[in-house]
Amino acid sequence: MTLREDLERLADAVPAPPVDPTTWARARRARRRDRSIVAAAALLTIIGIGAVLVGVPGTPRAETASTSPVTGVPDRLRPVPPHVLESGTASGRGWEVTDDPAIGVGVAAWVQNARHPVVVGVDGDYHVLRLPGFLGDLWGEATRQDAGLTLSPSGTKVAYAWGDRGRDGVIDRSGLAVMNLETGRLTAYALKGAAGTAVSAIAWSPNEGLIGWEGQQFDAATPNGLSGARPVAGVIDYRLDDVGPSLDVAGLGAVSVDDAGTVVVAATGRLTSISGRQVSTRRFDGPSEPRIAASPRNAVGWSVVGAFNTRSLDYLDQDDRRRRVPLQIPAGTDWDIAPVGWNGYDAIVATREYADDGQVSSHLRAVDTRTGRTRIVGDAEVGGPTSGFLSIATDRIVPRAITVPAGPAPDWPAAGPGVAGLAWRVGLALALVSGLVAAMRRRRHRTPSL
Amino acid sequence: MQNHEAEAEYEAFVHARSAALFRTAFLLTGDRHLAEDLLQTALFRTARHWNRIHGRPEAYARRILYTQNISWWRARRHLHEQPLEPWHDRPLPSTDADLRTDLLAALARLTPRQRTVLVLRHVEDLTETQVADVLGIRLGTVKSTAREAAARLRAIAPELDPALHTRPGPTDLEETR
Repeated sequence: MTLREDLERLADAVPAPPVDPTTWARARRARRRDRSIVAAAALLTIIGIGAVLVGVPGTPRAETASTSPVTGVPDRLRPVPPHVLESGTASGRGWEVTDDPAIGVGVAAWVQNARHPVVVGVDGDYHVLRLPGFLGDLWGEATRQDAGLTLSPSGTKVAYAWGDRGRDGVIDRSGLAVMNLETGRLTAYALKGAAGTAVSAIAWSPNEGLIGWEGQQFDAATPNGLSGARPVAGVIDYRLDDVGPSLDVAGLGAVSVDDAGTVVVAATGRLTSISGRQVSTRRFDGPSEPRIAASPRNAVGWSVVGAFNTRSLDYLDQDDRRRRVPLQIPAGTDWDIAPVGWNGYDAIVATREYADDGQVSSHLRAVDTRTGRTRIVGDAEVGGPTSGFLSIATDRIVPRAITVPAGPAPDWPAAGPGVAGLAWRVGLALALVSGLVAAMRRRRHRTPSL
Repeated sequence: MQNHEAEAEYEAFVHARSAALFRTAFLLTGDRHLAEDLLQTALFRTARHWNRIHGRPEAYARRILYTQNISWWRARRHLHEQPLEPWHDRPLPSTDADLRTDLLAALARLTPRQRTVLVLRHVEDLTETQVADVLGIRLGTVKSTAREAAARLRAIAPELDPALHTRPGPTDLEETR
């Protein structure tokens, strides 16, 4: 007898069991489930692939493509959406939030929401920079400042109010810092004073060699607060890394500096000039609470003084004489003015204009200091006199036109929440995972080939 | 194909072939209960994919038997179950009772893969290449597994050894020597 015969006899001796009569019905239900799973997997996979192809709302794209190459100051400066400002490092078409400040050359810069430096690159892209030691409004209301930031005339550097926190989180050194936007190199200048000096306004000289500043110096600093504040101003030789003395001034408001190192601080009713260690103060019958001054370059003026609810433009001419130019403002309209630069006889200002009918508009205007006529050269929804510290790369001003056409709006991620974005992400993840699981299950249950 | 027609064909197939399939399942598992489970699984999957395998249901069902038995063993090899009714406690009919008991005991000592290779080669009459294809393993693995199975059978039940050599499988049985 062979093994085969033995085995067969062995198997024959065991009676075959009855087959479950519900087998076919159970199999039919299983077939229906199979078809449902396959259909769902196909649908979810298509949804997933489609979502990947069209992009997910609220998800930054990997590439940072330029909206369009603009080599000058764009004729429209758009505010960055708040949810983008508050996001972590991210990027999309025409924008980024980055802690890498080496972005190249900027043409306009401002501080948004008092703590977010924004630089518009020469390519038109918007860069929200996480600058090291940028103070924003951390000094608080008591210092009457909300942090300065100024773009250099060439657009290659930004100077900003800087501070360094100690181990206990309290600022123990402060002053200003210069970030080279081409190299990412940071140069910080700690100024004198307990906890340093809270710098409130900064100006570049036309040749970028000097930085004028003004701020408050404190006699004492403790974790509970600062005391003994007094207004000071000074100049830093950026090329020589030389910090000049901090000198007392009559008040704070606006600052400018020329290539020779003369600093002018305009405060309410007073004008202080600093040259070396010489400080002279005189009465200045200008607007109250001047905010910003602009450095001249090949300009007829010396310093433009911003003002609220004004109908005239105040500036200092090259002989340091105060000038006032009546503006041809339509009746029933009030303007706030923040000066940003010069173009020959034209003073360039950012305006916020209030009409009687309640309409508010924001523009970049060129004011002809000979006639008082103004013309709109752009829209600036940022950097009005009440906020923003808007500065432009004055070397990038295009004669006559002053600005260049702005590219299309950056592709900001969808506003809002996170709930929709999160739901979308979760849905997409579920779709992909479900599709994958269904495919794997399908594969595992696949019938063996015959 | 209408569903009721397919169901009727399936029922006819089960009626005609379930006993033969159960015999194979029993030899593969060496255990009646496992064999029943194995058969039910094979018939269920056959019904589930009936439309696709229409025309060759037995080949499909047998392949399920072969592969599923090994899959079960892989999934349960870390469990040590004690059967409530050991196979050797069952009464076996009449003649050659001792030989069958020895044979079952010997088969029970083989691994499922060894037992499966043995059954496929000597009962199902598959060639080594076919066995390798059905089980999804390499030809060399089939040969070595068959050699190990034969050696273990000889060690456990020496009286089976002559039987093992009496009738070679469809190809040379050199691997069993």
